Parts: sequence; C-alpha cells; structure tokens
Amino acid sequence: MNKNLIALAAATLFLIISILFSYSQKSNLEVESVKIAKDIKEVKYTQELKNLWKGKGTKRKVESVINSIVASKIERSNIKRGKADIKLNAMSDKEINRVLTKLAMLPISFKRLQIVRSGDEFILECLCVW
Amino acid sequence: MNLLSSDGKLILLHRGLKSLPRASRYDFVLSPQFYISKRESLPVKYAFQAKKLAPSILEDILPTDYNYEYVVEKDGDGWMFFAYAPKEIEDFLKVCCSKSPEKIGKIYFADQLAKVLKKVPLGIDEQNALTLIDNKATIVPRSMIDGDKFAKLSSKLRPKIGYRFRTSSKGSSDSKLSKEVIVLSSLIALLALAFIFDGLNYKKAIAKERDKLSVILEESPALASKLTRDSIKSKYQNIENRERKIRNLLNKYSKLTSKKSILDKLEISGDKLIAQFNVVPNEISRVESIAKSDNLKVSRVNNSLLRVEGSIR
Repeated sequence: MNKNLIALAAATLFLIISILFSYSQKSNLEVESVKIAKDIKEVKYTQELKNLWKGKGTKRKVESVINSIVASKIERSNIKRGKADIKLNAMSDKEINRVLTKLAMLPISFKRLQIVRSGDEFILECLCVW
Repeated sequence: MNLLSSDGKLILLHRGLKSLPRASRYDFVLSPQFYISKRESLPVKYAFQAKKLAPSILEDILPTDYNYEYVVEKDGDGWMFFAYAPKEIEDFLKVCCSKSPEKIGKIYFADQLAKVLKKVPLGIDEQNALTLIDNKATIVPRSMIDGDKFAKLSSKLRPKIGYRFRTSSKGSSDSKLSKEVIVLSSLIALLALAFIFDGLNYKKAIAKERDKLSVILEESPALASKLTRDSIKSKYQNIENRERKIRNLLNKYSKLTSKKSILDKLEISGDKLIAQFNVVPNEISRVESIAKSDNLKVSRVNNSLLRVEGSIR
C-alpha cells in the first residue's frame, strides 16, 4: 500500500480521534458542570439546614428568653440536653406576645404549645426541642 | 499536486538520456538496454508460479554483474519473462540526471509497447528509434527504418500494467514519503493536537469544577455521600417545614387579635395548630373572613367564640 496514503490516513484518523476526544470532553464538561452545580447547591442547602436546626447555642438563647421573665411568673423551667419544658403563669397579653415571638425566632421545634387565657392573664406551656 | 496518484511523469529510459524534466516522481518505460526478456511456454497457471521459475529460465542469458529483479507477464498461451537490475538503473540515473531511486515510481518494459511499435516506431533521439524486430522491442538507428514517421512517448501510450520498481537498497520507493504528504500530514496532526489540547482544557475545567465541590465537602465530609446527604436533608427539612408552618400560623393568628378579638386558647394538637378567639359579636364575621382569606379552617363555637385551625404538616 502507498506509504503516502497510509501517512495521510493515519493523520486523518488521528484528527478524527482527537475531534471525538475534544467533543466527548466538552459534553462531559456540560454534563458534569450541571451535576456538580446541583451537588454544590444541595450540599450548601443541607449544610445550611443542618447549621440552622442542629441547635448550637440555642440553650443559651432559650435561657436568655426565660430569664427576661419575672421569676414569680415562671412555674416551671427545665432546660437541659436540647430540651426546654416551660410553664409561665399570669402573663399579660404583651408579655405572652413578646415571649412567643422571641421563642418563634429561635431554631427550636415546638413539641407542645398551649396558651390558655384566664381573665386578663395567660398561661403558656410549651415543650421545645433542638 | 496529486498526493494520492501513483502515476509519475512517463519517460523512456535509454542510455542516451542526458537529463530529465522536473517532476516529483518518474515512471520509466525501460528500453531493452536496461532489461532482458524471454518468451517461454510453460505449463503453469499462475504468475507467482511463473515468477518462481524466472531466475532459472533467464539464468543463461543474464550477465552476473548485478542482482536482478524478475517480472512475468502472461503472453497468449505462454509467459514473458523480464529481468532488470535495479542497481544498474539507479547508477545510470545518478550519473546522467542526478536523480535518487526514491524518485522512481513504476516501471514498464518497452516490449509492452509492442502493439504501438508494430504500427509506428518510437523516436528516442535524433539518431535512434525503438521498433519491433522479430516481435521484440529493439533500438535501431533511425536510418535503418523505412519512412520518417516516429511516435513520441506520451501518457497516452502508457502500458496498462506497470510494475513497482524495487530499489537495490532495502526500502522501496513506496517507503518514502513525499514532501507534500509530510507537510499535509503534519498540518493535520497539528490540527489534531489543537483538538487534543482543547479536550484537555475541558478535562481540566471538569477537574476544577470537582475541586469546588471538594472544597465545600471538606467542611462536612459526611455530606459527600448522596445517601447521607439525603438522609440529613430529609430529617432537617421535615423540621424546617413543620416549624415554618407553625411560625407562619402564629403570624396569621396574631393578625386576628385585637381589642375586640382576644385569644382565648391556642394549642398544638396532632398535626394542627388550633386557636380559639373570643370575639365581639358584631366583629365575628370580619375576623372570620380574614381567617378564611388566610386559608384557615374556621368554625363558630358560639356567638362569640371562633375556632381557627391550621395544618402544620
């Protein structure tokens, strides 16, 4: 077979292979970019969720909310190991509103929440976990 | 420029040749000065069998100065045997025309022009011509030939079958690449390299993208596993959804309170956050419509008590 033909065929084959390689890498990049971007988004979201709800420093914040209430109105306040069992008596409407707003701003999960009105005063009972 | 054609410039090679026109490759019609031929009837069917017998058939008539290459051609019911000495041809071309053996493409034998020579002799130079004597191509002085009509060798007269010239050195003429092919192949290879470089850049870009993910995962290696990630996400997403709904409902319930609509009771009961409002009778419809517009489930307990429910699932 003519060596010239072989040389040209080899060079052309090399070109075809390199074009295929380039295109396969390009399409790989497109697929991988989408996949990696999705993974990054998911990891960041999971990290944010975890950081929000894992309860780092939450105990101190819950204590600070309870400590802002007059002691005589605190019937029960057990705060330990990611759990707060609270019962507050004789709360005015403004006080109950303030406590509930502050608690709602914390990354805690309300397992039990009960507010009962008695005349002009309110009784708040809640079990929160984090 | 014809890169793939194997046809070179057709030249009649004879001892009187002084120079060659410029060409990248030459195909030579060998004059009888450069080969020896013999017709023999042999009971063989195939050319390769005849070729095996060629050395013994031509043995007696070949000088021993050179190594010979043999060519056989079917001729009616017999075989034509040709023998040529590549070294002799190479040496002659080097001396007369300073041409290297790589320039030689195909070779033909003057006897292959027998049909043409029967009709008209072929002029070689001013003194000599190629003609048929006893059915064999022979160089004779022009003066010996009757008539003054001589044909000139051209590509039209090219015999149908050409033979590859076997050089005396190891490599054949076909083993040499032409400059044009080398240049073109190099250009194609360069283009291919550019594509490979391009592909490698894409590969690098993929690696960079992966690095970005790795950097993020360094903070939380556990999240590298999709299974773990899904499990953690599912756990916290359930908490997130429930707590957001509770806070959203508390916000909606707070809109329902006023001096004329006081919260009487609020509690989480199963998947519901239930609130009861003590509302002044003439306000109850307004509060009810606000609650309904917030997609809350509303029911009247009595004329002054309104029960509102919202799902926290």
